[in-house]
Amino acid sequence: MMIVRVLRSGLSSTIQDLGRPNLRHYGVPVGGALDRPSHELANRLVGNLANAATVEMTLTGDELEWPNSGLIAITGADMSPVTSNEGIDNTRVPQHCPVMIRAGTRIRFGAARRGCRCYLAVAGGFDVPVVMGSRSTYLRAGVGGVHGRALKMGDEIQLGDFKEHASHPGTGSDQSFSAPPWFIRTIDLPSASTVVLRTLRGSHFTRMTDESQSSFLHDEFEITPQSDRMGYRITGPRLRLEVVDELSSEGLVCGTIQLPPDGNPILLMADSAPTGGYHRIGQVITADISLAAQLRPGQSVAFREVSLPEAQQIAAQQRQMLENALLIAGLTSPAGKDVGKL
Amino acid sequence: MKSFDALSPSIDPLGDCAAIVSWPNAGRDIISTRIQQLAEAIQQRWRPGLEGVVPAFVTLTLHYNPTEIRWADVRNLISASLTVAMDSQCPNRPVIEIPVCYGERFAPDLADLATQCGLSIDEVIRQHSSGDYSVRMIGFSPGFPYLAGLPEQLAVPRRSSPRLRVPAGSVAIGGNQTGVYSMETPGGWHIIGRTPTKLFLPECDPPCLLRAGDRVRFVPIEASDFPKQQEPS
Repeated sequence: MMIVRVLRSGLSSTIQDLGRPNLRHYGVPVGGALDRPSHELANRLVGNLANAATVEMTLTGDELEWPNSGLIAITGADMSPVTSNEGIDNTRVPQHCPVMIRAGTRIRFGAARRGCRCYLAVAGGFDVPVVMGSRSTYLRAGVGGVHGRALKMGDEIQLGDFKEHASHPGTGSDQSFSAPPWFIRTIDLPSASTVVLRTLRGSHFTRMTDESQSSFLHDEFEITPQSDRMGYRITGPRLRLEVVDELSSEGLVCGTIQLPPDGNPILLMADSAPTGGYHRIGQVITADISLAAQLRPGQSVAFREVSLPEAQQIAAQQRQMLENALLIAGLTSPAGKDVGKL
Repeated sequence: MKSFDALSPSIDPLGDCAAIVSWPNAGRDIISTRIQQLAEAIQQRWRPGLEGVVPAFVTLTLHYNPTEIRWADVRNLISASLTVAMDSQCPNRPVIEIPVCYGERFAPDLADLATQCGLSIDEVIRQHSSGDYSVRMIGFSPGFPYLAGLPEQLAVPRRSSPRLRVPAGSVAIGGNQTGVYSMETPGGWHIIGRTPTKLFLPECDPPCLLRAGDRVRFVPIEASDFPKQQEPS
């Protein structure tokens, strides 16, 4: 049985897949990887299906050990992963490409230099028990993943079956790993400048005062430390409703921007409850959830309006670009070629 | 977007990956029936790209994957389902009995609530466990049923400051609704009892005891009927 061992745990690393999209009517959050394109890319780079489980690391990553050789891929935030084999090396492990590692390799992930969430896929996937149709860790209910919690030191996570690439070049002798000279990235990680999240008007957008409507779509806001997999609390110009009335609880999606009575919006992420009763002033488009997942506390953000047809076209384009890049990578193994940013 | 339904439902986008159907001109009871009818009709027309139907108090949300199916198709599918839905019958579901211990240890707010309602504790218990409730929606936390049908006399506003931890199984009243906390969460409803029945069963399929449209009755039990391991410490 193949495993990965957790030598030192990060801030909050959890096992995630594509979640539980079919249980919303039972009040079960969809959950799953927050940055889905990065999660999916990591899986596809090692030959897994998109729904295989990866480790999602947040802000600071783990130190892990592979008792067996294996094929891995690291995507998303840049946590400067390096090999940490005792007395041997301290070599940077490349991201966004498949990496063949030798038995006994240790990899240490540090603090994120850019972005917030890093994804680690292994060929065969992380084989934790399936709960409610998914391996995703649902922290609030303590189910899924490794005992329903974040990874901790000493955990041994079982890996799914895959054919060991024993003859892969570069894994035999002195090197800890080998990787091709190309990479595929899905998004530009956020930089220090203001990040624009493309946004649709929410159902209750016009319930805000004229001033707040304008402010929401033109001013800058900031992600606060009260942010997790359920949602991000956002501060900035106080937004106001014309009339603060009570709404009946109804459907929400990942990307919904709610406005509680205190005037500070909440951007809902994958672990949010599937229903709620605050006013919905906006909806970050599906294609930009990946970018939102890479934002960290203190990040400046702006919401810019797009139309529904635009949003759906962008989502389709994003999907197509990922497929194209994977096709090129898979078909031509382009030596020295940057397959490029998506 | 209107259909032929005299109640004039409207179909609006919820972001780029869901549609929300509402009946702004209709009363809650008729809406509840319409939501169930529509949910059934959409299930009949299920197609790839659709992710789930979520009934709520006065709306129904249909989730979809925007890379597989576009808004216009989703809207048309809902319109077509609406015209079919009006004629369909909702099967009467059996009543699900939920045992509740209204004993003092499990019911920190029962005495206060009785005072607020101007009733004796026994009368509150009698009324709460006398009729059938219907599950309007599941939400807040997995398996938490919002139940309609609370006797008017028992309706009291939510607590001014919510508790940080409400034990799983707590039976509570908030406004004109009653419900059961399906897992330990914060909560602002008045706790009047506790059930040993589990409402959220993540190891089971389906993972929850109840779903929207179900009928529920509370059956009083003694503290001695409560399984030992589930007594509060």
